[in-house]
Amino acid sequence: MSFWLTDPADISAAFRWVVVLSLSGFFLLPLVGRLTPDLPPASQAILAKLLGWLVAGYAGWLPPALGIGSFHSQAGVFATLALVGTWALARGRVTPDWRVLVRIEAIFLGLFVLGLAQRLAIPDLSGLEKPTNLGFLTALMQADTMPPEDAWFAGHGINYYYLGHAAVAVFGVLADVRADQAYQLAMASLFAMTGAGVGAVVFAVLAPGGRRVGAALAALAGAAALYSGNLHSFLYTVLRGWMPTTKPEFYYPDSTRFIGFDPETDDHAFTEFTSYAFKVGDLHAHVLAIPIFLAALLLLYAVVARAARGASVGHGSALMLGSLIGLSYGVNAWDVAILGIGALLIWVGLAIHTGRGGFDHMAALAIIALASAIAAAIPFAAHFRPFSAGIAPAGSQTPIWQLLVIHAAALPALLAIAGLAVLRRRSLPLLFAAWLGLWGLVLILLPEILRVDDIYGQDYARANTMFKLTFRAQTILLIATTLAVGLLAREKARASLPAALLVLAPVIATFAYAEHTFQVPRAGQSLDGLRHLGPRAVLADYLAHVSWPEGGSLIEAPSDSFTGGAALATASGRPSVIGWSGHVHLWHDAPAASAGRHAEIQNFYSSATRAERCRILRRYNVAYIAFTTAEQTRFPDLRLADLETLGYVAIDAEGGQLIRTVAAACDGRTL
Amino acid sequence: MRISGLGWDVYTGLHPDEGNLVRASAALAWPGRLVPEFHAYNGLAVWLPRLVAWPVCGWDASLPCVTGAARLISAVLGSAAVLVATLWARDLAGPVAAAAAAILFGASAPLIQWAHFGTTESALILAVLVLNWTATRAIDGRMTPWHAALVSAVTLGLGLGMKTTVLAFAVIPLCTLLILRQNRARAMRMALAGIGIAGTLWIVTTPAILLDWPDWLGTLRFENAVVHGSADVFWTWQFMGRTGGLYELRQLWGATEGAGLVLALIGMAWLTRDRALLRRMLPALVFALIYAAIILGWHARFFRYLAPLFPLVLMLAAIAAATLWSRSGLSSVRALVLVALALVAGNGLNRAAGYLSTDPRILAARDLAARVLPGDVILLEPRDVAFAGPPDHTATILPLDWPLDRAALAQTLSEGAFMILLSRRNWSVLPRRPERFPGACAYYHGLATGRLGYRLVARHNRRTPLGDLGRPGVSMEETRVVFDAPEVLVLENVDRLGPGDLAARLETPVSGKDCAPESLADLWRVPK
Repeated sequence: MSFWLTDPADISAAFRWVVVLSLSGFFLLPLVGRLTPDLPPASQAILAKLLGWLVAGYAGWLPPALGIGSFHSQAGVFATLALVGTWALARGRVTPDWRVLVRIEAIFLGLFVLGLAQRLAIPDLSGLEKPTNLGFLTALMQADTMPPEDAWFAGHGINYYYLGHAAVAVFGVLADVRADQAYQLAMASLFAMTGAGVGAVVFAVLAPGGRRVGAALAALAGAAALYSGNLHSFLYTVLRGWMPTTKPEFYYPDSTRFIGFDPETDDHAFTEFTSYAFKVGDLHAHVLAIPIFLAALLLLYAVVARAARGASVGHGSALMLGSLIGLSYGVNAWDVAILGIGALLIWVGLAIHTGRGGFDHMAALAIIALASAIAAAIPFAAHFRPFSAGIAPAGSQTPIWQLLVIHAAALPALLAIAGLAVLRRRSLPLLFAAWLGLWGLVLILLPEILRVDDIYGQDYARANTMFKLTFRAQTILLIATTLAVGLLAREKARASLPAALLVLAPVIATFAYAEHTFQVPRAGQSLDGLRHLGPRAVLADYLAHVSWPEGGSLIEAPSDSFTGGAALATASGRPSVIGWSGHVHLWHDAPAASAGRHAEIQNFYSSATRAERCRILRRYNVAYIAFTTAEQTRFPDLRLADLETLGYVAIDAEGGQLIRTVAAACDGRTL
Repeated sequence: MRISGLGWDVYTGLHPDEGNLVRASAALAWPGRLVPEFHAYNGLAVWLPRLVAWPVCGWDASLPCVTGAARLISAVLGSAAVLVATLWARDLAGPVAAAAAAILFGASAPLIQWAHFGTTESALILAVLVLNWTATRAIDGRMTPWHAALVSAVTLGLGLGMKTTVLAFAVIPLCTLLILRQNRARAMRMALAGIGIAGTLWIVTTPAILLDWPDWLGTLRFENAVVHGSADVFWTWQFMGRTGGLYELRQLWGATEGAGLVLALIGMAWLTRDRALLRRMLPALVFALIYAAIILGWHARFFRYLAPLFPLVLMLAAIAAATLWSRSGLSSVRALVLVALALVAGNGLNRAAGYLSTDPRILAARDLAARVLPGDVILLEPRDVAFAGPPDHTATILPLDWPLDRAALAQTLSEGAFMILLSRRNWSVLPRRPERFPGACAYYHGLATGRLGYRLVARHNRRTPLGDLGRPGVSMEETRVVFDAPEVLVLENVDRLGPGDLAARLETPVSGKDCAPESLADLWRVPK
């Protein structure tokens, strides 16, 4: 890795990370072998990697979440993984194909390197949601019990879907890397898991009909998931002159902000996709849930394949699928609905297939899946207060031409799948492709009917619902499209090859977006994600490592969302009284509290008397007060001497000072 | 699950009922006071903790030591109850039922809770189980009638030494006697011998019946007035407006995670098909019916009154689980049975784990110590446990008496720096009955919304793995949480409103719906 990472500490950190990641997948191989005998070894190896990530993350998080262990002692993770592996081995011999394993490791490492190159192109963890996610990660890595204290809302645990971040933190602890390094390495890992996972699904379905075609299309699908866009990114770049647009030129987020944005309407919707997610580099819930989604997809295919050859679907598969759906609740709750819909469609199909005689078994599978989903979700749900206000009618609908601009790349494939079905070319791959097509369409159509009620205003009412549902739909339809190409290529009819090329053409066209997403590894890159802090990084580092008083908090200048505020809390994981107040409002469903704290801290720095300051210090058990360049710029009238009366300067650096508060300074006798 | 975590409050006696018993126990003296002065519990219940504490802490055992001994006795008796229940289930329906009973009794959250209190519920449950098991063995012919009568009499006698409620348990052996169809003279001899043994044991263990008869009877009369609602005491205010039967059913549903009650109903239905089993469980059923009829007629509907019904409910559930498992032949039904058992077991484990974490009142005291300034006034509610607050502060009890003196309340509120609500005893009860407690609704709604200038700055709970999901909700009877797992709320007087302003705000009309316990609970959960 030294050809692009130059700092030996970075190289060592990346090496440790990769080793931990590989080991966690390796331990899961026997279990995967037992659960999915119908998958080809390559897909099994990738599924083991996906499950290794999830199981290790969950096993590391669960004990402190249940109050029976510290988050910092992750010794139990490998013990759990070894136990799962040994249990699977004890139930029968599973012989791994070592050549395949080495090949998969090499592919995975290659993807990891590409992913890291993309993340490190702009390594700073600032902008968009990166501070949010870094704040989760640093808070997790500082915490002993779960949920960790919110770095932006002192005194309260994180009330967001943080389980995916917890998995990253577990790997961070295991690999002994800093939170910002863990962020970069996790993005690269997710990048690799996305490419490999999408490829694994395509390969699993197509390989039995031809390994070379299967492998080629798997590679294409993986690459498309990582680099290509939607049809908009082709139409509004290559064919821009022919398209109706209100914007002077193409900017890469345009393909995700099209409906309601071009032309501008009062019904804005987001249509992000995986390559865009990796381009912007936010370690957000929907990205962190990709391994769950792809693992569930592979397991569902294994279930269908098993049923197709007349074998009974095992309880273990239902248990694992249910657990994945349950796990989604803590990572990205949208996936509970998304995977639930997909699994329900499969269950109904299998129930019809098995008929009345198999209903008891199917009912048992449903009960096991449901129970394990609830059991997996409960430890997270126990300390989480949902903040959405329920489901409401969508209220608006997308013009059909705009839906087609976003999603029509899959249209020829869907028509081809329907055509093949009409021609009675029924086969397992066709059945699976048809199921994917149906599932994807349902996810695209749902936001036209319903939306989840959240805090966004009326003109963004559907934005989040469409964002989360179509994010998955686009991956699902990409896989369905690739499968359709494979199915057509396999047909002997003369028209099949041109038809396959016709179906393939839009997918190839969407690679126009690769211009914005593809990054070649460059020399001299660094894992350091805090360079944007400048001299304040020293202060953040001090806070991260200083012995922190129990229940203590930090005061720094308050800020609105998507600004550079609360930077020290974000970088150190130490809880600030208030961070990005808009985000705190959303997560804790506490508009009054977030606005109130914002005003209090504003007042603390600007006009409070010493007595008022003391009240605030006591109210929030403030241990440190920041007087950095950020506060000095924001409150030019504030003098260090004003704050020094509340304690003493613990560190005086180029970026500013941190004042350690002293209880006696606010003693009633001195006020 | 029963022995661990007995020091859940560091033996500081935060359970008031237990506190009464332990104080009476510690007050026993030799020579001097041999007859306890506290008669809500009988002599054995008061003497036993003292005797158990003696070898470890000596005769002058401290209150914490006697508290520990009282809890240890409960825990041991509670553990013995699981064993007896398992054996009874094995005799009734075989090994699968025994396994189900072991899970259901072993992991029952209420049974675990009672095992952690130095009170008598565990003993009562054990007594009911022993009596029922003995009855089944006698009906099966595995025990001679005389042997059964002797065991029952000793159990009743010792049980009466704990609590007079056990008198009702005599229905079980009497019903057994009828089922056994002994000739009248023999039956009469057995009954008289049993009554003699039980009565002797009762008097020996509770000499107050003879030596302090007026006081003992006075206590009994007072307790009777309390349960019938003729004595107006704050701890029964929570039962105002409750519908008998439905309320208890809801408590049972919550206490068995629903699954236990559903299984029990299936077990009940199964009994109508299995006449032999019905005959063997008839004494238990008859007792349950009579006992339920008695308590349903009372005004007080404490959850602990349901304790003697738990053996039957859980045993029916165990029988249902075993029957469904063995006879249905359907894997889906087996999966459902496992889910039901897992629900009960999970909640029980959660409850047990909670006793290992720090008591919320202790956490709140630490929290306040970091917040208060010298001279700060901390406001406390009346009718709750004593609170050991931080040093250097003044504690004032809020004048929450009815008719409400709003001016006095406003004055006290204006002087407070912090307020601590030690449990939901007041806020989930008083606002619900505006006709009885006018003004309580506006007061608590004002507190919860911040209208009175107080802001919730901390919530302290007993940490459990299942968090809020595992906690009995506000619809559950308050003693399921207020003694050992209350939610403690710390409020700070942020706005420092004056008495006049506060008095005006206390007059603000608030709809009853906004004062429902569920609405207030939701308001407390929103960070302020």
